[in-house]
Formats: sequence, C-alpha cells, structure tokens
Amino acid sequence: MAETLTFRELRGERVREIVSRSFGLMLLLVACVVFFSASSPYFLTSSNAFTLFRIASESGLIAIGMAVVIASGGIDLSVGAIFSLSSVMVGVLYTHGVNIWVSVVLAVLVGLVCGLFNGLVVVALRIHPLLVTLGTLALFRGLALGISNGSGIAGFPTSFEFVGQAYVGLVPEQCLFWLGAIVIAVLVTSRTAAGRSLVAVGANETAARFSGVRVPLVRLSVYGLSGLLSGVAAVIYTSRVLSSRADAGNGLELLAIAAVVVGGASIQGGQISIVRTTLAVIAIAMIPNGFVLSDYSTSWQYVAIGVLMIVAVVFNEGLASRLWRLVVRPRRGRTGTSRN
Amino acid sequence: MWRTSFRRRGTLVAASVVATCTLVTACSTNTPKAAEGGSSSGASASKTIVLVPKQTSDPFFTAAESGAKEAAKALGYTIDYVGPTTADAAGQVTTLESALQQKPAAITIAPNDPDAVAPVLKKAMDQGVVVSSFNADAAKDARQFFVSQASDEGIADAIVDTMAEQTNGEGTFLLVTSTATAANQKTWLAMMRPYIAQKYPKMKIAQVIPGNDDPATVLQVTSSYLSAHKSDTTGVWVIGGGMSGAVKAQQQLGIDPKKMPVAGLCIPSDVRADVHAGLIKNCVLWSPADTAYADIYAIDAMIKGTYPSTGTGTLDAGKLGTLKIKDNVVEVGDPITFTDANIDQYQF
Repeated sequence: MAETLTFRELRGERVREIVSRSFGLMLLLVACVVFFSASSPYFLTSSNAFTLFRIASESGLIAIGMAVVIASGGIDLSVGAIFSLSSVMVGVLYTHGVNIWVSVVLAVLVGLVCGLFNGLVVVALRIHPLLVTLGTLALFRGLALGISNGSGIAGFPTSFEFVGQAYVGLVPEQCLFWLGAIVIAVLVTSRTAAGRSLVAVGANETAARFSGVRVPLVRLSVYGLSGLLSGVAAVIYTSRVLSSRADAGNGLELLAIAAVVVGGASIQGGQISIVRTTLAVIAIAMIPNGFVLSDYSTSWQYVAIGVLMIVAVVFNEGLASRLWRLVVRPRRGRTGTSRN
Repeated sequence: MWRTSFRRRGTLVAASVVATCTLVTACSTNTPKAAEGGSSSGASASKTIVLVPKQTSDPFFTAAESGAKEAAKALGYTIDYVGPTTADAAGQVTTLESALQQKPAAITIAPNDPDAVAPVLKKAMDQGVVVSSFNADAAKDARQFFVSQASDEGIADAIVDTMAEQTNGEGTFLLVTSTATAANQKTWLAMMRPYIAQKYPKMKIAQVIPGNDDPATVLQVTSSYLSAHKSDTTGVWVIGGGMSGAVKAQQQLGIDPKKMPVAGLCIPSDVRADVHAGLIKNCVLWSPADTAYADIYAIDAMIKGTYPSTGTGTLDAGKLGTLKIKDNVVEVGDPITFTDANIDQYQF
C-alpha cells in the first residue's frame, strides 16, 4: 500500500496519524479542565494555573529527557534516582562549605555524569536500557541514601530561593526554565539534523547506521541529556522546598514515562513530540491538584490517574484511529487519489 | 515540503488546545480575583481548615481527622483532610501548594520533614493563613504554634512505670525503637535512662534495636534477639510502632508473654486482640483525636484573637478543659494507658 502513495497521500496519512495519536491526550485535557472547573471554583484561575505549572515544571523537565530517550528507542528508569542524588549533592556540598552556586553547578554535573554512565553501559556493553537503568535506579538512590545517611539536609541561604521560589511578575521562576527547555527541545527535534538522527535511530537503527547516523553517539547523548535535565529539576526542587532528602523524586520515572506515552509517542521509539509530552505532564498534574481543590478524598487520585491514563493510551494507540478510518475512509473513496 | 506542512497541522492541533485552555483560564480570572479582594481584610472569611496528615491512610491520622471534625463542627469550620498516601515530604508540599489556592482560614500539618514544608508554610502565613503543626513539629519560624500530644517527659515516665509495675521494678530488657534516626525516639530514650537510674536502679536496658514501626520487622528483630537471650530477658519494651510483632515473636519461640511482659507505646488497632487476650497487660499512647481537637480550638483562638499574644498562657479547649500553652506549644496532657477495660474506646 505504501509503495503506491504519493507525497500528498503520505502527508494525509501523517496528519491522520498525528491527530489520532493526540486524541486521547486532548480528551484527557478537556475532561480534566471541564470536570475540575465544575467541581471547584478555585481550579480555573490564573493563580492556580501558575501553581500547577510550578508543581509540574520538575516532572516536565524530566519528561522532556524521557521523550528524547524513548524516541531513540530506549528507556530511562533512573531519572528519579538521579533526581534524588543531585538534590542530596546540593545539600551535602553546601554543608561542607562549598559556595551554593558552585554546589548547584556540581549537582547538575552529577546528573549529567549519571546519565552518561547509563548511556555508556547501554552503548558499550549492549545491554537493554531497561536493565541498565533498573540497576542504576537502585545504585543512584542508594548513593543518595548513603551520602545523606537517610536524613534531610536544610539550612540553605535565602539567595538559593531564587531558583525555585521566586516569581517574575506572576510567573514562577522555574516555569521559565521549563519553557526555555521546551523551546530548545522543540527547535532541536524539529529543525535540526540531530533531531532527525534521533528519530531515525528509534525508528530503524540499521537504516540509520547505513545512512551515516552515528548511532552510539546519539544513544550516549540522549541518556546524558536525560541525566542533565534530572539534575536541573533536582536543583529546582531543592530550592522549592529548601531542603534535600534522599527520598525525593520517588516514582518520578513512571510519571515521566506516562507523560510521554499519554502524549502519543510510541513506547517503541521513532516518534517525538515535546509539545504533546508537555501537555500530558500538565494534564497528569491537574489530577492531584484538582482533587485537593474539589475536596475529593486524595486517596482516590491514583485511581483517577490510572483510569484516565489507560483511556488516553487506548485512544492514542488504536481505538481512535480505527474509528477515524471507519468514519472517514468511506466518504473519501477507496483509491485516495481524489483526496485534497 | 510535505514534512513542514504535516508538522504545522500537528502543531496547530496542539496549539489550539493550549490557546483554548489559556483563553478559558484568562476569562475566568475575574471571579476569584473579586473574592480575593473581599478576603484581603483577613483570610478568616474562609471557614475551611486544611488538615495535612503524614499520610492519609494511617488509622492514627484518620482518628485525628475525626477529632478535628468534632471540634470544627462545634466551632463552625469545615475540615479539608488532604495529603500524600505515603509518608512523603514532597507530597505534603505539593498538596499544600494546591490547597493554598482555595485560600483556607488555617492549615495544620503533621510534617514528614520539618524543613521541607517550611517554605510553603511561610508562604501561607504571608497570605494571612493561620498555620500550626501537630503530632510532629515544623521548623519553629514556619508555624504559629505546635500542638504537642503529651509532654515528652510524661511519655517517657509512663513507658518506664507501666513496665516496672509488671516486673517489680527490676530486670534486664530489650528495647525496640522505630527507626535509628527518629527524633522523638531519641528524646524519649534520653529521658527514660535517667528516670530508670533514679527510680528503678535494678532495671537495665540490655540492647536497643530499631523495628521500623512495622510489626513484621519488630517480629524479626525480637525473635533474633530472644533466641539468643531467652533466659536472661525480663521483658520487651517497644517504643515505636508494631508492638504486636513482639508478642508474635514470643509465641513463635514458645515464651509465655504473661511471664515476659511486652510494654511501651502502642497503636490500639495493632494490639487490640493481644490486650483482650491478656498477652499485653497495658501500653501507652496519646489520643490523636484529642490532639487534633485541641488544635482546632487553638486555631479558632488565633483567628478570633483570644490566643495569648506572648505565646504563653492558657487555651479553652472545649471538652478537654483548659490547656496550658508554653512558648507557642499547646500541651494536650498526659498520655493514655490502654488496658483490656478501655482499649475499645480508642478506634485508631
């Protein structure tokens, strides 16, 4: 079928693909906004929107890294552990007399190094990233626990509040970091050769290699990027709560993977949409926020997250596109040549 | 060329949704802003008190919720019981950040980490929200007062006395704590030691082992210790959670719990069967319901301006009578000793 398609028809296929893959996400977003707005007068306000973005920016940054890793055909389960290790590093370095901003830079570098370590093991030893990062999840969180001895570190200088507690006008500081990362990621993935190499590696590694893409380099950099963003998110978190603990970022990896998948990317790789991943992060963050504001028992919020995620993924993966074909195909005719 | 267009269409779909959301958000900004203006004279216009437990599913905190609701009903407030489902400091912060959006009259919290919740609590105080802590304290400059369940001295003394009366004030004991780093355990232990030395010089703590607040861990550590020290152990103190584990350890090793008493701090729901069966004669705890009840009365006093401005004085706390306040710590009173006769009155 594909061999007879013209460019125009191919474009039609891609548009349909994009729309159908976004369908679950759009449904989730609209459902959340409508439902929570109806159940709480405090939900749909600009002030709550910024609170929501503020809370979501840490997982949002990590989800960008995850989207890139998944697009390359990999997965990174260690992001939450890197997050906790970087957070603990800020605290430990600062309490040992290192300047706070030097500590921050070093903590972000620790994130980068952890990520590169993941990438190196994946590339050099050719072990499946699921196994590698499952191992480093335990390793990095263990390091965080060991270094901090399991207790919290507090007593940061007030100047450090700038990263995670300051506002520029109405906009929380960390949203600007997040927005910056989104813009850069969108430009790189959609406009550069690096972005095309990334998707090529995820879609078909062999074809990518024969096309001259340096596959190991791409692999190494995606894990490095993921670690780096986890480190940045950890610094924001540490500033937001002005303390660091090894139990920070528990379960962040699952949240990030969920955001990428709800955003319509295939878990098998070869696709990326930073914008949709970001919208999914916001949609998922709306649920706990909405539960608190609507006076629903917060014990049930995971049920809501679970159900909505399954619905979104089912729509993204199949049901919606099948419906699309059912409704649209007969009207357009079988040959497709008369289309547009 | 087709690449660019499909991308445009894809982005278009996403962008339109963002635009719609933003638009709707922007349009509706006016209503709450108006409400905000009205309440700027004092957040007390709201009658909502947000109560954040260490974790929502713990029966200890659901008991606190019921005590808070009883006081709230009497004083005309509503309680919003929200928090993380696991004892997670970051989860409490996120919950509070969302909860602040509804501009509550007050926030009261049992912090999982005194420092991690401090920034958001300070933000709440800046907005005119009354902030207190109960069960565990927050950083002192991040709350207006702390409601202490019972004085640490009272707890430490009761732990020692209840065991001493079962062993005639003598013997060698195993002591199981919660976790190695828990601040309250360290405090109580530091108070128990001099009290024992002074009042019961023939009592001796042979070893201190953490039991992680969990019956399974308490069972495991007690069992390991007793298999080696069965003959020279007089009794087992448990001052963290999970006391029922110690009784099970004795049973598995064929020890009669009536001859080697288990005493200390307990959660009634954990030991109810053992207390009724006579395997535990008595154990001690405070009432989370009373703590939260007193907390709501103190919040009400703060809102109405009757709370002592110096931070030291008294508080009229409804059915609990008059309570002492010292340096912004509200003292609820003595711990409760649970026995076969009264344990069923405490449903947590």
